Amino acid sequence: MPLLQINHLTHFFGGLRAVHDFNLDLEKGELIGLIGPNGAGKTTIFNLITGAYRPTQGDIRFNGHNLIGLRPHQITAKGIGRTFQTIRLWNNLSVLDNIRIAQFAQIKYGVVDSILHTKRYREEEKEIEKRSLELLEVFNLRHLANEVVANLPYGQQREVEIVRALATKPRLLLLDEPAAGMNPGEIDALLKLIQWIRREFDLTIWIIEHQMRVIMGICERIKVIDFGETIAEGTPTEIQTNPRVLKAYLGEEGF
Amino acid sequence: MAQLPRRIREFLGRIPLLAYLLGFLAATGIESILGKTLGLLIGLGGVPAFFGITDSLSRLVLDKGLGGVLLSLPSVFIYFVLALVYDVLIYILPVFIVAGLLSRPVRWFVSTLPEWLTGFIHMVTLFLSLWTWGGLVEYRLLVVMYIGVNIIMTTSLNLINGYMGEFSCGHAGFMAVGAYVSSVLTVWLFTQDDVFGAPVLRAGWSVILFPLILVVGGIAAAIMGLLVAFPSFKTRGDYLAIVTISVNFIIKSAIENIEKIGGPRGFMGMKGVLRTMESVLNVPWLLIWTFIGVLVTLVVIHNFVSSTKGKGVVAIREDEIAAELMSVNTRHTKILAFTISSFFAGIAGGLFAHVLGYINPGTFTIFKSTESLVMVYLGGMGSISGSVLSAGIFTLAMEALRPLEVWKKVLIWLLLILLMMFRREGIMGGKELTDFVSLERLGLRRPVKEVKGYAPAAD
Amino acid sequence: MTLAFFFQQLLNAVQLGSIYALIALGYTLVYGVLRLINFAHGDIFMAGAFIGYFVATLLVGVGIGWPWGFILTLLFSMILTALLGVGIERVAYRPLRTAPRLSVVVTALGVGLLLEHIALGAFGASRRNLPPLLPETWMQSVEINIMGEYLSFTWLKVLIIVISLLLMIILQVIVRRTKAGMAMRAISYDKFAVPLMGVPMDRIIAITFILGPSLAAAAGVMYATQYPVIEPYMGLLVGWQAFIAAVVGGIGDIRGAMVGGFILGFVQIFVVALGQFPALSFLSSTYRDLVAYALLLIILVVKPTGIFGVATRQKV
Ligand SMILES: Nc1ncnc2c1ncn2[C@@H]1O[C@H](COP(=O)(O)OP(=O)(O)OP(=O)(O)O)[C@@H](O)[C@H]1O
Ligand SMILES: [Mg+2]
Repeated sequence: MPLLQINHLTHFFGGLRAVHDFNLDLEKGELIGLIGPNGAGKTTIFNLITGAYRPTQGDIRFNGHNLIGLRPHQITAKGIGRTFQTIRLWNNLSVLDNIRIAQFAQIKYGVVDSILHTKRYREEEKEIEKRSLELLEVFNLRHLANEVVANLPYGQQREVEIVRALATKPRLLLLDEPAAGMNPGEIDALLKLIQWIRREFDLTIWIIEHQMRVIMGICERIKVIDFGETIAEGTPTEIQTNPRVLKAYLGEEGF
Repeated sequence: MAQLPRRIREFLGRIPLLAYLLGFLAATGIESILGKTLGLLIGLGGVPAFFGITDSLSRLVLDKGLGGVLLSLPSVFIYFVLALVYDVLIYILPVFIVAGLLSRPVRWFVSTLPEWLTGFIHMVTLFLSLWTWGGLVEYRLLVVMYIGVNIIMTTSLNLINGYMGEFSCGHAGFMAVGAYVSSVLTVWLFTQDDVFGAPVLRAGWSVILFPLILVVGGIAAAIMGLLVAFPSFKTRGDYLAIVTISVNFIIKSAIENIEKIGGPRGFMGMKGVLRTMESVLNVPWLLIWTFIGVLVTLVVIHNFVSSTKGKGVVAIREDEIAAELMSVNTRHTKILAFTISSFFAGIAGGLFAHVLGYINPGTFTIFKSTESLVMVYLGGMGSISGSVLSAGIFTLAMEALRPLEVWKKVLIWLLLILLMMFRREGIMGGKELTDFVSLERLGLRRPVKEVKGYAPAAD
Repeated sequence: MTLAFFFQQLLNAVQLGSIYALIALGYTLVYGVLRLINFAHGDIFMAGAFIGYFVATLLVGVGIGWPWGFILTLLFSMILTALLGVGIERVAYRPLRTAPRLSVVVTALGVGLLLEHIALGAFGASRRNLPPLLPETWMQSVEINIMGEYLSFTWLKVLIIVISLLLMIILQVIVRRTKAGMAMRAISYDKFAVPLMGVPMDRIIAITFILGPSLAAAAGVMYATQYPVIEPYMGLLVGWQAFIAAVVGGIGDIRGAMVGGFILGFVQIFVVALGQFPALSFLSSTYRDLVAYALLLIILVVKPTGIFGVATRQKV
């Protein structure tokens, strides 16, 4: 059974058809890419999967469970983590708090525990903190744990966002243009990091990119959409030579 | 010479909190023995209630136009200077002398005790000094309890407006629910009343049930809080402000329309409840419960917002959509925040009603809500110690400025506007007191290494 | 319910509704342009009534009576209140234009309460009466016969309705025909559209704070000719009702304010009117406010943006 199954996904914003009849079977362990020009509907697909919007039509199954109608935090708790195209960290909180809060769904103690500081509360909080620090350690961010996020440089904020997504204990990680705003050197490092995360955390990864160049190297399979329609699907080489893709990207930036 | 102020500052900074509290206790003791004599001696005519501010301002002549005001200024000034002498002699000197002398012994004493006991001793000392200070002039005790009520109101509103970043301006509505529910219950159960008849329970129960009834009032208010929590799923910002205001108005109008509890005329009889309680055991019940109420509020809200679960509240403020997408159950969190917040508003209401002895729907209007807002913003959003400070300062100022009559209110609102213009982050700027002075330095926590705790915190 | 009774209540409702609508327009105009709930607006209405009172006293004192006394009172109080409105914006709101919205809302609340307590300090809490600006006969009830039933009304009510409608038409002309007015409407749809239209933002805001308060002042003067209630708290009592009207109609939308005003007028008048029937006598007049707020709460739950409001979606 595929990890993620999307059938006939369609979404309208008022009269605007942002996504049309999108289909996908994502197997466990895959690393795939979704590309398309500006406004093609890529981010909307992520928003539909994570429950930020409710699709006009179609169904989405994750690990056999229907996701339609679930609230975003429930979907996240089922094992789908994501990052955002424009960074959406909780800016005035510390790095550590950002990571801690992302483990909200794993909390089992109740309010009363948190108010009375019961044993259960202390144990769980200790565990959350330990795990957060370990995650930060892995990304060499531990020394920044108490830094307020807003004070970090852009690149580190991107990393913190990935760590935060991992803190939700995902099985599928959705990355929305992780390379946006990075220079070629940083992009190379990022791609290595992504491959490493995939192995280390045993993840299935789906990356949105706007620039084709970025994911050609690491994705096994790529889907191309334009104006909400799927216009191509295949290995990087197939995509690179597909005439419809070339046409969609003509005047954009080429290869 | 330039070294002197710094050295004084350093010396004062090393004095533990408990020594200051003991100093204040000593000062109140001195005042109760010598205050009246000294007041008569220097021409104040007795013990000045609020450090002489109220008494000097009451010499202002307000009803004879600007000329009257100007002509009365010299007498205001003279009284004020005399009162200042009194304050220095009775408060400032004793506090600092006692605190300075006790500094070392207290630090040693505190370091031998477990932390919970240290905290307890602080609380008892604070309570005793408030009690002696308030006992001297009855009006003071009332103000001390108002301060307590306002601390509860402010911290609980801060949970919504500061930590969660929503804009609730109907906090007085929840206060009203708590006030009415608990008053009706106590009056019905423990006093002879025109409407509710003879007391239902024997007097002895009043002492035991009083805190429980306060909690019942709080729960009633918390249920009303749901009226705000549910709309907050869909709307935020301006619209939520509108919802909260209308809930405030609805609660007020609803009470006005219930004849049985006095309708617009109000409800009384709570003084009788107090008499019943005092007949069982003559201790300052309300002061005790207000004090405990404040402590519980502070502990609950502090513990909640510093837990991971409670930090969901702050995540909502920072970015609600990201919070929901990053596994925070935002609805659940909002319901929690609103119920906790309105629960404590209800508790504050119950205490307030019994302190005042009389309530009417007009007490719990948007004015009262806005006063709570002023205190929240004055103290700084998202700062509990800020809320405590501002509630104290604000309430004292309001009482001290009472002789200014309506113009006092003009001053408050002007203060609010200026605050928004020039210091939006409030007194504490979103920080806690402990960000400036460590608990070790205050002597509330044992220093990690023996000597290090004595060093002034690095700036 | 008889027909005459119905028409009589209808007239009352339209009259009350038109006052609400005039004030509600001020809330809506400011919200449309600044996305600010101008909580001070109710008290600007109060200030307008007080200004009207002083102007009228002056005019009657020097012997200017109907019709010029009335017209000049209306005009001067509109002008002076507009100045007050523009002044408030300059001093209190403008420095906060880049501040978080919350601070501005708090400031607006503060400004309203400040006005209220200044009025209380300066003029006291007692109610004042507008000096007689209209001929006696306008205030007396006139009865006309409808199918055997008597319908009683005063010409004053008719006058209030006519003037209100006239002012609303003038407002419509301004927002539809002048460049600044069009820019104002454009902002309420799309904040970023205005720089494109070449009208300076400051001027649009100033015009907004001229229009809103002057309408409120007109409402204040007319309200005071109808009821003897000039007092510092009138802004709280009447202003809030108008605010509800604006929200019910959809704050930010001009049609919404008018429709909301009339709806609220109808609901309140008919709740009280129905209470006159024995079977419904529990609907005492103290329910008036309760009904208004309940209506508001229902609207907010069912359609938070009001009847005409459009939801602004937050993008993920
Ligand atoms: N909340 C929304 N309301 C209305 N329209 C929207 C909304 N979100 C997206 N759209 C529209 O849907 C279309 C698809 O947007 P989407 O953000 O999914 O594109 P994208 O492929 O991610 O583009 P980009 O490369 O710029 O990120 C666009 O035309 C966009 O304007
Ligand atoms: Mg996108």
